[in-house]
Amino acid sequence: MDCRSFHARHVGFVDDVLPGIEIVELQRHIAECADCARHDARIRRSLLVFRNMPRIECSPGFTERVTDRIRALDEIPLTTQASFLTPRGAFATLVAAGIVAVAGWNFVSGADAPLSHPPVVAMVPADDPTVEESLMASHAMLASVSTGIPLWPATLMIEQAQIEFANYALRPMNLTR
Amino acid sequence: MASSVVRKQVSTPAVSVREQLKQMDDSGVVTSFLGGEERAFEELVVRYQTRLLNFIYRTVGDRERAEDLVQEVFIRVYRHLHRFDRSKKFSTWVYTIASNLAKNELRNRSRNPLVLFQTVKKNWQDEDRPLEFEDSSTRPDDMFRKRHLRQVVEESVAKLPEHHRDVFILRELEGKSYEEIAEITGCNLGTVKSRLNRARNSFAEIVAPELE
Repeated sequence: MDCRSFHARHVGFVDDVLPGIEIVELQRHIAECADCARHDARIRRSLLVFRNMPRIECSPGFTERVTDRIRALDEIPLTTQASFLTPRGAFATLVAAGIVAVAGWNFVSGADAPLSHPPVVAMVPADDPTVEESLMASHAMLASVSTGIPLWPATLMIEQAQIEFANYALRPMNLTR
Repeated sequence: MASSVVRKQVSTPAVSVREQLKQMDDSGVVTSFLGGEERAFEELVVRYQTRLLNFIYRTVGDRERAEDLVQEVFIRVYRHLHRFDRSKKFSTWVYTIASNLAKNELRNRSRNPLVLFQTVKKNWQDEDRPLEFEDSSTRPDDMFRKRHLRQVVEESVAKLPEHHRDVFILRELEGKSYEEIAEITGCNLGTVKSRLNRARNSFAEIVAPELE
């Protein structure tokens, strides 16, 4: 036997689990090889120290503490341990499952469909007769027409056009107040 | 669930039941517990608490935490005992739970490193040590040597890689067979042997100078 196969079988040799023939071979090798004999002695001594280490004991009252905790486990009501087992819990679970199923179905079925927006409803504002009235029948204009001077109505119309335009834009807002 | 098992009130005197339980093997005690005898669980706790404490303590190196973890082992055993395959050894199952909890503890500790009391203790001055009443018949130099040796051994074990330490403790401290260790650690037989060989060599290398 060489040192390599000795080291390979050393675990079984120390634990005494090898067949008798192999144990004799290993013992013979130890007698011949000083290095392996030293190695074997060193391992056995260190293991002896480890195995003889004092064992620690549980602190006083440990068993009682464990059994108390176990009893406390038993006392916890079933509802807190598994609330889905109660009728209310079962109903809530069922509803939640339904919501999840519907949401899932919507997600799956709507994944490939084209995106459709809700129809946009646009309304044309109704004609405001007061605007027409104000443009065509300004008091100043009517007054100037009666004088017979044709220039004045035109001038007044040009001056008032901007005001009338602004009024037209603002009038719907005023109406809403 | 174990708690759902209908508990029978045994009419026989408590003392005799406890005596009977003490004489049973693990399998018998487990069967008795599943049959409704609550005192059987206490018997399991008494049988395993010290063994598990030593196993976990050697693995995690913190005594108080080890006690907490032993409690956790028993709670898990209680909760899942009805699922235990009774064709297998109860001790192997218990050690598997303990080993997994110890591994989790080490993993959590590596994520959130804490300064352990034991590591602080090394740097204490003599007067910081709590007062201990020692056996006056023992020579002080022997006491010192023993304490020093224990510290060296604990440090040497702590230095082993986690997967080697597990196998080493199960074999050397708990005396488990290779097959049992393989089952507890979830490794094959060859891996167990090679890990044990390496762990022994590493341990001897660290400890041997202290023994000479």
